[in-house]
Amino acid sequence: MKQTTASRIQLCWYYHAPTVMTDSEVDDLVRESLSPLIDVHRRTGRRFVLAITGTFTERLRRIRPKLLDQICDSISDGLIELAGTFYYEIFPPIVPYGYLNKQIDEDLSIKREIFGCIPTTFFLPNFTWVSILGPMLVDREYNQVILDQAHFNLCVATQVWKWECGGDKGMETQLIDTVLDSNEIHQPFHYLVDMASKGRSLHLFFRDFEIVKRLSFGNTGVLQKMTDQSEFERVVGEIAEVLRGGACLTLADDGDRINPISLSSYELFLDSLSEGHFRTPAAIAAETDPDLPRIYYVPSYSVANVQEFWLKDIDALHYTRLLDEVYSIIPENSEAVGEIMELQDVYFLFWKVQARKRYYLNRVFRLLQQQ
Amino acid sequence: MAGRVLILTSEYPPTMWGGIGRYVYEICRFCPKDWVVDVLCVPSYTHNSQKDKVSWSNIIYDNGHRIIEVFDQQYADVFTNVTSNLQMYLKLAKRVADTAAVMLNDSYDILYVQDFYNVGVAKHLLDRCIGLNVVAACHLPLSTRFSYFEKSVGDNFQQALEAALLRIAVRIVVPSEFTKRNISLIYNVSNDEIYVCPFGVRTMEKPEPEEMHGRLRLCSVMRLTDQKGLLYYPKVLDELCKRRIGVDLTVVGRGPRQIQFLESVRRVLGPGDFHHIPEYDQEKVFSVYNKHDIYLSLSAHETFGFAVLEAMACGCVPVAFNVGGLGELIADGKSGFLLCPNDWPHLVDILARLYADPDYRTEIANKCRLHAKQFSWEGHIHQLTHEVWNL
Repeated sequence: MKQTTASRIQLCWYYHAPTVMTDSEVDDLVRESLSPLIDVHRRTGRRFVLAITGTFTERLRRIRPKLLDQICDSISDGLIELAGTFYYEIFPPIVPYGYLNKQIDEDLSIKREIFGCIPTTFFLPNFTWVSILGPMLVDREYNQVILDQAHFNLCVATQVWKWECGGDKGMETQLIDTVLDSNEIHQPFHYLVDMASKGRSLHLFFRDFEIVKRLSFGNTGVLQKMTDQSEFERVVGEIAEVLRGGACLTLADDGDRINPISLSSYELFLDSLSEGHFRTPAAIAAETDPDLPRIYYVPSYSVANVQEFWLKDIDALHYTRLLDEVYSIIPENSEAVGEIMELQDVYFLFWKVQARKRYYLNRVFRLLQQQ
Repeated sequence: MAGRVLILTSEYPPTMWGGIGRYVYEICRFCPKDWVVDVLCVPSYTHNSQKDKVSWSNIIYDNGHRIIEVFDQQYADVFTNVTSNLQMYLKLAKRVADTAAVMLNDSYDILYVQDFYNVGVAKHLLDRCIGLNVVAACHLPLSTRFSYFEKSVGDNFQQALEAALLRIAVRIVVPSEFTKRNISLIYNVSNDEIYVCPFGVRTMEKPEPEEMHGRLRLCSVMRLTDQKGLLYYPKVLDELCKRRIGVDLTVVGRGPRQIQFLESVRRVLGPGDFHHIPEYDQEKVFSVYNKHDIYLSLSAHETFGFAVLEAMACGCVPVAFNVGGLGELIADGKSGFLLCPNDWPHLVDILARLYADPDYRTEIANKCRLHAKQFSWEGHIHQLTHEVWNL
C-alpha cells in the first residue's frame, strides 16, 4: 500500500439535539461544550470537522443565531470543515430507502441554506452504515465518509467455510479478521461504489477507536481526568508516535466529550501537536495520491453489539413494528412525512426508561389513528 | 397551616460544615416558630472527630429545635465500600432507623431528606409512620451532565439510591433551573413535582470603606477537587503577575487535591500573598469575603453557587466560568462576570480591568450586594412552608 509522507490528524466532533430536548438544555450544551470547543480551536488555530445534525442546526438558528455566524466565519477561514449527516439521528438499518434519502437531503438543504456551503464529508451517527449509503452519497457528491475502526476489520475480513463431517453434514461460515497492524487504518481508502474499476468512489477514513477510548471517551479518556498529567502525556506521546510514521489519524467522537471538565486538557492536547498536522477530510482527499488502497465492498455495520443495544429490548421491537405500520399506510409524499422523519430519531431506542419517550409514542399513535 | 417536619441529613454543624449542613442550619434558624422542625443527623462519612467512636447517639437542643445525631460506623462505611449493595445498605439503614425511632419518639408530617445517602433510613421511618411524606432536597445530584464523568466509588449503587429517593418523594426541592432540567431528564421526574427554591444568604452590613491598598484581593471558598478548576489558578495568577498586578489570594477549604493545589499556587505567589484556611467556619468565611474584592470561581460544574452568592452579599464581585446554574445567579457585566469555560485569558482581562478601575469595581460590588438581597433565607423558608411543605 502506498502511503503519503506527511502525517496528519483529523478531529471530528458530532452534535445532535433531539426534538424533546428543551431549548434550555440545548443552551446548556452550547454554553458548556459547543461554544467553548469553537473558541479553543480559534485560539489554537487547529482545524477540525464539525458534524451537527440538520435538526440541531435548525434549533441553533432559532435560539443561537450568533453562534451560527461564528461557525460560518470559521468555515470561511478554513478552521472548520462542516460535515453532512442525517437530518435527525437515525438508525439506518430500520429506515426505509425513501426516508434515508429525505434524511440526507433535508440535512444538505439546511446546511446549504444556513452555511452557504455543501458538505463533502459525511459523518455517520453512531458509526452505523448501511450498504445502500454508498451510491446514495456519491449521487449527492459526497466524497469522504468517516467510519469506525471495527468496520475496517469487517471490510477486510475474509469469509471461510467449514464443512461438518459429522452426522449432520452441515456447513458453517465465519468471517476471519485479516488486519495485521493497527496502523493499517491510518490512511484513507478508496471505496469503489460502482463495479467498474474507475467508477465513482468515496474516500473512507476509519477513526482509531483505541486512541479515542484513551483520549476522549466517557470516563476512561485522559481528557476527562483534569489533573492526571502522566497519563495524559502518555497518550499524547502515543499519538505523536503514530504521526511520526506519516500516518493519517482520524479521531471522532460525540462533541459533548469536550466540556468544562475536559476543556483545559483538550487545549493542551491541541497545543501539543503542530498546527500543520491538523487537517480535514476534504483537504486530505484533495491532496492524496489517486492510487490509494481500495476497499471493494463496505457491508452494513453497527459498532460491536450496538445493534443488540438498539433493537433487542421489547420496547424497541414494538416501536419499530409500529413505525413499519406507519410506513405502510402513509405515502411518502404525504404531509406527515416531516413528522415521520422526526419519529425516526433514535431517542426512543437509546433511552430505555425515559418518560420523554412518550412524546414519540403518542405521535406514532396519533398517526396510526388518523389513517 | 403549620406542621411538623423532620429534616434528615448527613451533615450538621458544628460537627460537619459541608454545604448541606449549612443549609439545614439556616433552615432551622429562619423557620417560623409555629412550625416544629427537628433534625435527624445520620452521617454518611466518618468525620475526623468520630474516628475513635464506635457508635455515637446524642440529642441536643439548638434554638428550640431537637437535633438527634445517630452515628453508625458500618453504615457510614457502606458508601465507600466497592462491594456494597442495596441489601447490605438497607439492613444497616434499618438499624439506624430503629435507633432513631426510639430517640425521636414522635411523628412528623414531612421527612425532609437532604441527600440520597439516607433514603433507606427515610423509607424505614415512613414504614414505621414516623413520617407521613418524603420531600427530597436535591442540592448536588449525581448525574448533571458532565459531572457524570467524575465517578465516585460505588457510583451505580449511589445513583440507584438517588433514583429511589426521588421516586418515593412527593416533592423535590432544587436550588436552580439547571438542576431541575437535569434531574427531570435523568430520573423521570415530572416538572410539576420539582420546586426551584434558590438558597438564601444573610444580608451583610456594608463595611467601612478601606484605604486604597493597590492590590487585587481574590478569594475562593471550595472543596479542593478537580471539579473546582484548580489547575486554572496558577495560570490565572501567573498571568496577573506578568501584568504586574499585585495579587492576594485566600482560599478556604480542603479536599483530595489539596497538596498539589497548594504547591502549584505557592510556585507562583509569595508566602505573604497566599493564605489557605483549611477549616470552614462561617464567621471566618464572611470575614474573608469582606476583606476581598473578587470571588474567583473557576469550577467546571456548579448546580447553584452557594459560596458565590455569599460572596456577592458581602460585595465581593464574582468572576466565574459560566457553568451549571451560575448564570441564574450572576447577571454578566452587572452583578459579576461570566466567561466561557476554559477562557481563562479573557477572565484575566476582566480581573485586570477591575484592578485598574476601582470605581468600576465598587460600582459592580454595590450591584452585587443589591442583587444578593433577592436571595433571602426568609424567602426560601416562605417557599418551603407555603408551597413545598404545604401538603
